[in-house]
Amino acid sequence: MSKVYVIGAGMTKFGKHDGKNLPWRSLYELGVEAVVDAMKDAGVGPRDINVGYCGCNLGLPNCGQTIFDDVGLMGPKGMPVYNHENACCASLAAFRQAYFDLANEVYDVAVVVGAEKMTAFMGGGLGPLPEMMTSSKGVGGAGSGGALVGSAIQMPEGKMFMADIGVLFTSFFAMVTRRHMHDFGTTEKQIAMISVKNHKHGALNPNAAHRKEVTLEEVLNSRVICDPVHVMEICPVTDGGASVILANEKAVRRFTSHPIEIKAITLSGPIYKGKPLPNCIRATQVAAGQAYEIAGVGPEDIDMVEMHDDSAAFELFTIEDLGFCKRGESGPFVEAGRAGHGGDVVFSPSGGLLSKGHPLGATGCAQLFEIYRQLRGDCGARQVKDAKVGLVHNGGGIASVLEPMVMCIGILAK
Amino acid sequence: MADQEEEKKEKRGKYGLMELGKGDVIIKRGVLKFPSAPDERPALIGAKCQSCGDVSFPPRVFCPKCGSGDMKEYHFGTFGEIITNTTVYQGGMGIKTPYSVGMVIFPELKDPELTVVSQIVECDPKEVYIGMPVELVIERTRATLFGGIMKMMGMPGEHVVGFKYRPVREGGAK
Repeated sequence: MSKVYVIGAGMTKFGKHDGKNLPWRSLYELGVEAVVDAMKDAGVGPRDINVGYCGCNLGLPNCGQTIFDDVGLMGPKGMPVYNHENACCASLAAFRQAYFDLANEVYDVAVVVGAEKMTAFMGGGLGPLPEMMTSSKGVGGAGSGGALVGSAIQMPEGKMFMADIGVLFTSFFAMVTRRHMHDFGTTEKQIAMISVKNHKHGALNPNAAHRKEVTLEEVLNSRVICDPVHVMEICPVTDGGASVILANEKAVRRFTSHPIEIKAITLSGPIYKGKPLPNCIRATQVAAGQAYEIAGVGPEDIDMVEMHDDSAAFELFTIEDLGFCKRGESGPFVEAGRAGHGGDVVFSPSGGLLSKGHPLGATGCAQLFEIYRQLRGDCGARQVKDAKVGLVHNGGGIASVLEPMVMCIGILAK
Repeated sequence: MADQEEEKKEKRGKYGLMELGKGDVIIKRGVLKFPSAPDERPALIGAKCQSCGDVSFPPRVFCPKCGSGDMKEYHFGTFGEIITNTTVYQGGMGIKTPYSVGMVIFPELKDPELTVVSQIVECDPKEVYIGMPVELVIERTRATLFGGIMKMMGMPGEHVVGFKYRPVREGGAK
């Protein structure tokens, strides 16, 4: 199998591209902007790319073809395109498909794009008019676009959507958080500190939606969405696109002498049994364990993590699930500053989903964007010192056992 | 006015709905055992593997634990215990806020890994606690987004009917 590298990355500003907050962009325009940005970054032209992958949930079918065609990639040779839906993990899971196709030398150079328009009805797939029917107002609505879709498609033989029970992402994390607090004495203050840290990082990220630092008091005094989770501990609702370009050993030398290697990219489903207490995410443990083994590294080698902090408390279980500390000790770990600059590892150097928001499909590629740029030393004020190895952690969906439906872990290295 | 009349006609027992109403959509087919008498308790319908004994909910075709296809319908869940919960203040899902959701285990089954997540009802959300004994009721879980349109078209889809748990009132687990 050939080694596979990331040779470029691009992303749009994340925010509300509704014409009021940021200039109006359609779902497809967000994707196009990200792809063009990534191509420029990689130094690849349209004829260099053999295959495209698109991670998007709320767009209509063939979202990838629409985006890549607008860029001009479809060309006379009929470039193949894969479209991938996997809830919040869509583009990282799509990236994994790209990795294997390139590792097996089916193709040499791939473009992966993730895009989502959360502020429009049905993700903007139906066009601008239904934007008036948006339900995604204000912060704390992560996944509300998905809920809208879930409630819109009401089949009599339902799938038993968690939405039909009354559970969305915020209550999912709130329940795991409550059990974590019950079992280990984790405090609301420790959770709030994560939000403070991530917003501090986000203030230094020009692509983040929220670029203001927040104080502990502001976070703890903010409205409670699902007890014990405060609104300033949940990611805002945003639109955005992000893209990466991959090349395998056969092609990489044409473009760069300093590619970033994909050491591992693993995928796990929800772990239905083997989790007697809902105070951790077993799928993370499984996918990360496999990734560490494949990459030949351990948590002590990881310099930074771009994780799925759509809720600040998710960072707590993730610190433990990724093996940075023992089960139950993430609260003190965070309080001692060990999850930030100057600590053991920097979590969410980009500001995380808390600062960027969470356009579902775009998040995976945006996490890759950050790790890639960090490894290249390109991150200016928010640069992680001596960054050599980075990890991406991206989950999606909610299974009925309070595990994500999918958990994808990637390890990239210089 | 018409709604009130419809509500009066609906069949209700001590443990919630005894059947689907006209505008109701079931949360998933084959997971709820409706009571046939007003004081009969409902149950959840799972599947028990005849090979290894593992119970899954919702019922699976193959046993997730051992892969056997020898699965039989298994009724359970009449009584449970809360192992975690939260109060939801911001909704937007067709459920009146604040409401409580929790994860329930079934001590009678001696399998702490068979869990169900549901709303916890008929009490102040603040009263729900880890360890609280609960009992199953069948109720409407949420109003759907397009329910009004479905109603106009004479099709079910106004409300979803599913399982909920409430604090045990009397009797307790057998």
